[in-house]
Amino acid sequence: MTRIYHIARKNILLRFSSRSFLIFFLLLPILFTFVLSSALDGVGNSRRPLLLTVEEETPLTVNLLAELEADETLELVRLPFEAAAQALMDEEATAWLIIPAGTTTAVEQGQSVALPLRKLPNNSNADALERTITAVVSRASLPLSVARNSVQAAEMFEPFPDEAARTAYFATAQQDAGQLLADQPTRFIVTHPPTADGQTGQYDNTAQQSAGQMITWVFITLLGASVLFVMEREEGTLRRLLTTPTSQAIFFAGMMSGELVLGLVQMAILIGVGAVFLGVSWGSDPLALWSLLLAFSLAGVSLGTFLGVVSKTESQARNLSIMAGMTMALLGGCWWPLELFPAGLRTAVHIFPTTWAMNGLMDLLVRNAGLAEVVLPTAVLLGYALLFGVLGVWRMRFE
Amino acid sequence: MTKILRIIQKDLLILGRDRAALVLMLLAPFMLTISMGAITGGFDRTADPDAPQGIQDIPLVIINRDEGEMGQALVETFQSAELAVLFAPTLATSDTATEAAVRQQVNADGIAALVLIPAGFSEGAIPDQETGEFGVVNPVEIYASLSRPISRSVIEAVVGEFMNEVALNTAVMQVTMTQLVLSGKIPLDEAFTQGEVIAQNLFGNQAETGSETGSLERLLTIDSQLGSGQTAPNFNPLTYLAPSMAIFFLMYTVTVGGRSILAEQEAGTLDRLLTTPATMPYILLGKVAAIFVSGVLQVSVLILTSALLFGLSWGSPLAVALLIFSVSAAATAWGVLITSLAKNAGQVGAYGSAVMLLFGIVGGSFVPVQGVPGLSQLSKLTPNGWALDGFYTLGTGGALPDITTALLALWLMALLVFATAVGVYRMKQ
Amino acid sequence: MLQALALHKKFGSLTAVDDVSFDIKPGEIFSLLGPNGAGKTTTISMLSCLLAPSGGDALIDGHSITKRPQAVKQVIGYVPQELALYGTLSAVQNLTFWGSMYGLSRAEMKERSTAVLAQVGLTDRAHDRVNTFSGGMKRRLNIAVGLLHRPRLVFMDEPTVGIDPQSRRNILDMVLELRDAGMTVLYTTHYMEEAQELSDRVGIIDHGRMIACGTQKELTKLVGQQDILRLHLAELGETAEWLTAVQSDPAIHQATMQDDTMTVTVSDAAVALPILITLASQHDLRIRSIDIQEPNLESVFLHLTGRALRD
Repeated sequence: MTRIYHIARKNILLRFSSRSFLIFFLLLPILFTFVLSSALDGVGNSRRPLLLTVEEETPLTVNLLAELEADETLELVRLPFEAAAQALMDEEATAWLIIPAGTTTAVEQGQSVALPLRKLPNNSNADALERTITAVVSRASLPLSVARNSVQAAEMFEPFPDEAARTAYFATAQQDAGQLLADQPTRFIVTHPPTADGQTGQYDNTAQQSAGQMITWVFITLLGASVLFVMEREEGTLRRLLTTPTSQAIFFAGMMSGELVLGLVQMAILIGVGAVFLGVSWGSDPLALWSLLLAFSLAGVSLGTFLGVVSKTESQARNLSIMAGMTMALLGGCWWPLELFPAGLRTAVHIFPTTWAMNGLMDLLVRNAGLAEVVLPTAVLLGYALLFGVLGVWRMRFE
Repeated sequence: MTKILRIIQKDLLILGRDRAALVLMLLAPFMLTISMGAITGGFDRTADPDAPQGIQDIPLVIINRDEGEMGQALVETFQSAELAVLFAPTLATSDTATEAAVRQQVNADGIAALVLIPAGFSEGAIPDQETGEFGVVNPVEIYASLSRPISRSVIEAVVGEFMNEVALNTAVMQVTMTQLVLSGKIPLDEAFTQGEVIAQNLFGNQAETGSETGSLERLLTIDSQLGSGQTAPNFNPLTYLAPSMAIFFLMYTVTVGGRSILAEQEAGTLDRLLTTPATMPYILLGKVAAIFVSGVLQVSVLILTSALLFGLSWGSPLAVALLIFSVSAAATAWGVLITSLAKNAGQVGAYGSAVMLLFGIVGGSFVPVQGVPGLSQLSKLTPNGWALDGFYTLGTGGALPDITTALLALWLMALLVFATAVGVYRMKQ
Repeated sequence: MLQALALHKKFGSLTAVDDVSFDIKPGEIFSLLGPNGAGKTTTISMLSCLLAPSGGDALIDGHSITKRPQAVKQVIGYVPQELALYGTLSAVQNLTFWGSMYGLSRAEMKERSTAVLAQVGLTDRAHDRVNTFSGGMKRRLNIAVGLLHRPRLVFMDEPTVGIDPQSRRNILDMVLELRDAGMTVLYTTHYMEEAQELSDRVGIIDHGRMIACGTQKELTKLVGQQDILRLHLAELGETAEWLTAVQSDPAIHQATMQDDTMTVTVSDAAVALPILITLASQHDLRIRSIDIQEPNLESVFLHLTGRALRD
């Protein structure tokens, strides 16, 4: 037992003896979490800037503006045409809505107007903005359609004496329709599976990102165990160790438990940072959370051991662990929700432990699941731990 | 000059023999481009360009307990040809056992959502023929999985739009008739008969156009365009992804180059070089030039391969070449700075990976950072930010004059960072 | 203390160690001498339970290395050829770690770390990172780790490779002190001088076979009572005639000529010397200097294998 402790302690000392380790251990994970939870916030947890150029000031446009302003996901940035064009070029916002001069007149004459929305390509924020704006504008245009219809009906009986009378008729219809539509009953509701504690579930982008980045970076730390295994082999310390009365089993136990402690500490810190600075709730069942995370850590340590056994040089192991960690996290749904993946790929990525860990975590965080619901991912992760552990021990050359 | 060329030649030769480095320089960016392309829908060029990127075939089950036409209309909306790419709807039987099973499927995240159309949905949407009264409104329920925020918002948008249509249809006759009567255009007792005529006139025309609910034309719509007005129909996300990954891994290449400077020092070959008539500035110049050349080669190969394989176009080859040169220069300067700050080759590797990842996330190589307050400014401190801007401009139809700012910024960055590196190096001597 | 019984190790078709047997008595320094690749490290690896022998066995303090490796490991200390240390940890951190691997208690660890650091003269660098040490200092720490748990038998595998003469001197003195303190030492080297200076007994190993074993006296007897003389000429003249004359003298066993140096093997230098000098002056040759070399391990190796030790 003391020997396991001393090997683990030595590993942790070795890891921290390199100053760059802290960068990977804490700095980058926290930075990535913050960046991604603000950059990928496509479903509106906070306000997104929308560039807006309004070329005429009429009751219609004022009303439209009010509707846009009322949307809690938008932050309107009103700019003249040229400035807005520049701002979009400079990527100060991802989309730019233009309400051109003559819109009101055209609408009042019953013509339909397409408002130009310019957006950045390949940008999930721009897509989300577009969805929001389309919904707001569509809603805002309902009374207009009604009014136009009413004016057309009136004209079937007798023409308006002048344009002013027509406009007034239009305005009254618009106002009445607005009133009527506002009083419409709710015709659809969105519900979610109930959480374990009977509450209504709520998707939370920040939770997704915090969990995803935690998995990503802890995995990279754990795979880094490979570097230590290569080092022990290359520097001859493993040979020396085997001449001491310390057995191979103790050697593995010590090496792995050191990494395990590192991984658990890192997770505890990242969970704390998420909870305190990003307001992430880590579910209601700490036992389930930590069982899952422990299983995940074990899988990571085992895979790290295996990589360490098959890598030839330290730098090979280091690069391999960063790249493998990144790729598995990326494909495991830690960066983007799996719903974005094509169906075949979505199934295929279940060969990665990261996918199971992420699914389990999201169950806990978003669905407030308990121990019973994460039994499967926990078991699968333990399976990975066993598989790679056995492979690693089997492939290790002690001679 | 020949000496510098010889040093470049030797360094490239050594790099070419490092198989692990080559994998990271060329294969890894390529593989990541492909996997991220698969996720963001870069390979599905048939997809609706207005659809959110990547998402398609959203699995959902519809249960329709309504016996009227509105329920059927909503079902047909989801089954319509225009939305065929977006949705993969299944119509389930309306018994409660099925409903429970489908809800279970949503709970287990097997499907994105259940759309449940209640009995009497039509009665709440269409006034009774005889009395003109609306029935009790039973809302449609979207029972959505919590793990699919984007699918949920897409389904919600479609149902929302449908309900707008329903609301519109109920409001339009009411307002029209009220106004006609109030303005005295028709007498109150003729309202009912005239109403039939008006409805026939107004909706009849539109009903012929094929719209199921007899929808009214919207007066305000959104015309979505890409970029600053330069149109790029069917923008391919790979136009963004390929350079993103190329530049992300360019930062790896420059640190490998930097590492070779310190490795020469450690192996003693630098001392040996110094005993030849080559002087230190010459040697360093040769080494730095070698980093630059390997960077240019790497990015060129990746850009060219992805252009050929994925049919991407960045327009003017001259502009692309200049952009590659500029970003390689800036990245080389960062590589040299990291090297000058490091104590040994191992440190260059460790700090190099850290800087590579840092620039990757801040500079937008992983996720677009434009329009994210603070981040879009921060990204301009990295070669990634400027170069991606340049590639994006070229990819959306821009030409050389449009990327001059990016080019100048990259060269300015190269100069400043390189000067800092020289300063640090001098101080350490 | 140690008895190697027909140790045998094969790597595939290659026989690295071929039926090596020897024994080491308590309190002596036993050297394994042989050129690089002779099988020294393989032998020591088997004895320290790193490699399982393909055949044979060895008893260390009465315990079989194949049957009771754990008991063996309690007795031995191992100083590997490579620097098996953690470069980014301090000297004390290294010692603490290795001490714990030998199962020392906390108190013992503290006491022993201080003691071995003093023994190898690194007390004032105890808390510095090993990476900042010079080559010689690293070697000394490498030995210190092997001594932590007061082993009764220490294996030292070429502990002086690649260091400066002064550090080497330090290490050799240290080995002698260990012996004087009652420790048994198995020392491998390909430096004949080291084996000669340190060893009570020497085993000469070549191509995996123990070709000779014994005290230095016993070994040199193998060569017979022969002296080697080297005569250096001041200038060249009728050297060929002189060589023929020397070779035909009955007191001379063997004579060769290379450049200005004649190498002569004789039974008794005192008898041969006047003859050689007389013959030289008869051929008008002036001798600048003469070396007389008594039989040593080098000549034993030369005698047994027909090759020089450092080929």
